[in-house]
Amino acid sequence: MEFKKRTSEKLSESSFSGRHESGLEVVIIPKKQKTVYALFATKYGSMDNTFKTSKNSDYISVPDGIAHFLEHKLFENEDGSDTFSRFSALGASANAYTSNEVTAYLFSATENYYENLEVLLNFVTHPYFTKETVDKEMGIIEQELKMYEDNPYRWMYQELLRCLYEKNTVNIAVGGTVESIHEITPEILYDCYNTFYNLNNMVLIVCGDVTEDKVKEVLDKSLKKGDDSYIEKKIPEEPRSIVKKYSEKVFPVAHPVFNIGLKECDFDLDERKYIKREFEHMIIGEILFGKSSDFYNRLYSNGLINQKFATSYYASRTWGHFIASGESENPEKVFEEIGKEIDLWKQGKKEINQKDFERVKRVFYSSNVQAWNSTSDIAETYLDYYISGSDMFLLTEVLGEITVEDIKRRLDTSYDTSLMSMCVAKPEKE
Amino acid sequence: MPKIEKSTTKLENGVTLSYIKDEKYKTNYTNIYFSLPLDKHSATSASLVAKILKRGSVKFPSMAEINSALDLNYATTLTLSSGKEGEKEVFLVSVSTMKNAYAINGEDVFKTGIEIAFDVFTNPLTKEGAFIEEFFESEKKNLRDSILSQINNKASYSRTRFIKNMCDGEKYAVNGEGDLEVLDSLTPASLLTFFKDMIKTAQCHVYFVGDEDEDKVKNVINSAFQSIKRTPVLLPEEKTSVTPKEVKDVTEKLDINQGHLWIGYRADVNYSDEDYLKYVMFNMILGGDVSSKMFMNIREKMSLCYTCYSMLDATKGIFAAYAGIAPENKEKTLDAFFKEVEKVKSGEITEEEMWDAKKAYVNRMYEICDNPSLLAPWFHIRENSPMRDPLKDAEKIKEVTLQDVIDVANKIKLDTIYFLTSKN
Repeated sequence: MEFKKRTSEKLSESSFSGRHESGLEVVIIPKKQKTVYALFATKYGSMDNTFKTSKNSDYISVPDGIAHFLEHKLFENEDGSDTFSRFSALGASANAYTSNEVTAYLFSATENYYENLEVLLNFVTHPYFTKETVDKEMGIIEQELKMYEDNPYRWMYQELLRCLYEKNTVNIAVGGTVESIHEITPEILYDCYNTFYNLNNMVLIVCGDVTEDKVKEVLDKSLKKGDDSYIEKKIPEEPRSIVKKYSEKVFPVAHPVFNIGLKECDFDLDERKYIKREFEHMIIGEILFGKSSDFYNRLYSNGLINQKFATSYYASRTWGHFIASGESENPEKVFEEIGKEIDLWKQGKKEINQKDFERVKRVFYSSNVQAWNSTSDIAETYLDYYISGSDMFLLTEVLGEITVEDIKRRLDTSYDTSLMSMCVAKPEKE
Repeated sequence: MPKIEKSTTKLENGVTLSYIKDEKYKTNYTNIYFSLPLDKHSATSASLVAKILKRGSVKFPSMAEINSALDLNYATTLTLSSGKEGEKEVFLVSVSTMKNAYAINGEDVFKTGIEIAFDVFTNPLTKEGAFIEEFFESEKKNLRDSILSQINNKASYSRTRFIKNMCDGEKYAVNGEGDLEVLDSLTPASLLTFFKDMIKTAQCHVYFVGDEDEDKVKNVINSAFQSIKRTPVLLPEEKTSVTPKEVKDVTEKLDINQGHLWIGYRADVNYSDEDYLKYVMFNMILGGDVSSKMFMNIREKMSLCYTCYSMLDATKGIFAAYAGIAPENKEKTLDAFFKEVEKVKSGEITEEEMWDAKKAYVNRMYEICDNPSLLAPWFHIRENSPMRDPLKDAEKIKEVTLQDVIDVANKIKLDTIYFLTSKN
């Protein structure tokens, strides 16, 4: 395999990437630090519940929570050895995570880098499931799901996705439900594994003090060529409307906490526009609702919000939403104020001044620079953009190009206040 | 062997500076710690001060102006917080600044960041010898809400309740965020007096981790402290050695799905102790890592939980184990846990377990050195134990023997079993 080098002079960072003969996409980001962080990921998450490969004629549908279940089960080995201990013995710590669109296995090591890499590639490419081990995992995952059920913040976000999305499978909880995981069998696990853990559908990102040659050596030794079939995922078309404007649930919380979401309706973007859209939303979040804004300071002084109020933007290729979250005795009023504020800016009754705009851009410039600090942060951020078909190296450049006009256009295209929902976790009435 | 370049000097005004050179990151970290005796009053007042200072200073009279100034200085992060560390109350001013090399117009981001931080935390807006009434009232409400909202996160709430029950009657039982009754008794004037007293008399230790010249850091910090005439007061000795009289068994109930089980022991150890790393090894083997006995048996073999771990709090001499379990599995989990403790006590530990535990700890110590934001807290919590150094500990842990672990396991004393569970 051959590695292509790219460099960002401004950040004094570089990367080497290429496709290994096995089909695996490989990215190396060199860093002179003792900690090497590696991510081995498949483009497969909780969203992917209906799919087929080019070898099958029909789509198959699987129970919710299966990607996450697979993540747990891959740590089991046929010889009974424990994967965590294999890493510990080599001076590394291992972990894994599942999201809507990706399942990633990782280690963080301060010695034996290449041996650890071998263990990582090895355990992920050697599945072993039996009825007994699958049943045993139910208890563990059930407790994980119970933990989430008691978490009001987790419930709000999950419920918000159900309120915003009718068809898009981003509305499925990553872990599934206690009922859905009980439908899982070793056969279904193997079906999903064989479809999505094809090396052509995977990526390896290594950040730290490693060389291309030695990484390549480990890859040559550990990986066999992946199957050349391709995957077709069924992502249903999502209407430009929401399911529900409001949802609430009683929790043992002290005060009502809320998540307000606004659904994105601008898709179909290339790798630069994808980043641009994200920055535009973040800039809007700061200018309209940030800690220096009129809105924040007015509502804070009125006691309607407190320092926990924050905005964020989550998106991928087929879904996206802007979120405002916080704690308030009167979430309905906050909801109303947010809608009003958006309209004021859209109608030009409030205008972005150049000074504020430059200040906010500087905030994101600085956080982009500092995103290149730890090997774990770099690898995870790189993976996020990679999965969405974009590129972390472009961040600073794209940010620099954004103008006030772009922000106005974004407000017009993506801030449709009829696409807003709110979820509230509230205390029991005395 | 790599080395951490750390030098500690006494500055003017009773301030200690530890300077750690680190070129790895694009961020400079400055942590300013004020340590004072822990009690309900200091914990509550320090919490409220941390909130009120961010409302306005003489130079930046509103929250919006403070935040704009920080934003313009390349998104300088200024965090004011407080909490308990053993039997000390600690007020922390944490400033992180982007390195000057990346400033677009050649600005001195570090110096400006420190200046803004000092203006905010030493020069608050006041009126007639008191904090501004409006800021005081609204932050008092915010703090009250925040203390009450501790219940929103069940795992950390259960931990607070567990410590409160285990250390009942000791200073450490204080809620780190504050006490509602004390909060009600504070006034804008009494709080200002507390604040002025704190920055004058508390022990002050500044940590810098980053890539600025040492003399420059000294000068910037020295001149920032110029306006405060400090006369630090020594802290009382902390109590880490307690012998339990009987085992407390406490159950509390909430409307929840998962139970939270805590098992607390007294461990007569602190960071300065020669035995400290033996206790660390004991913890790693029993529940401090994913290769530990707890994780392997209670989670992986018995499927009783998703989260389980043990921890050593050497600021107070507590060893504790936690598991998030189904409410009906309390006894089963306890039995399984005590069985693992017995194994350690009788030396039923394989060579692999010893090796894995040591390796995992060495890895952790090296990782800390690669994360400058963690270095200052790591050193500060071990402030009175100057021999501690992550890289030296990584070497010394290798000397701990099986017999050491057995000895420690037989020394700890069971104190409290606490269970937060469902109403049904």
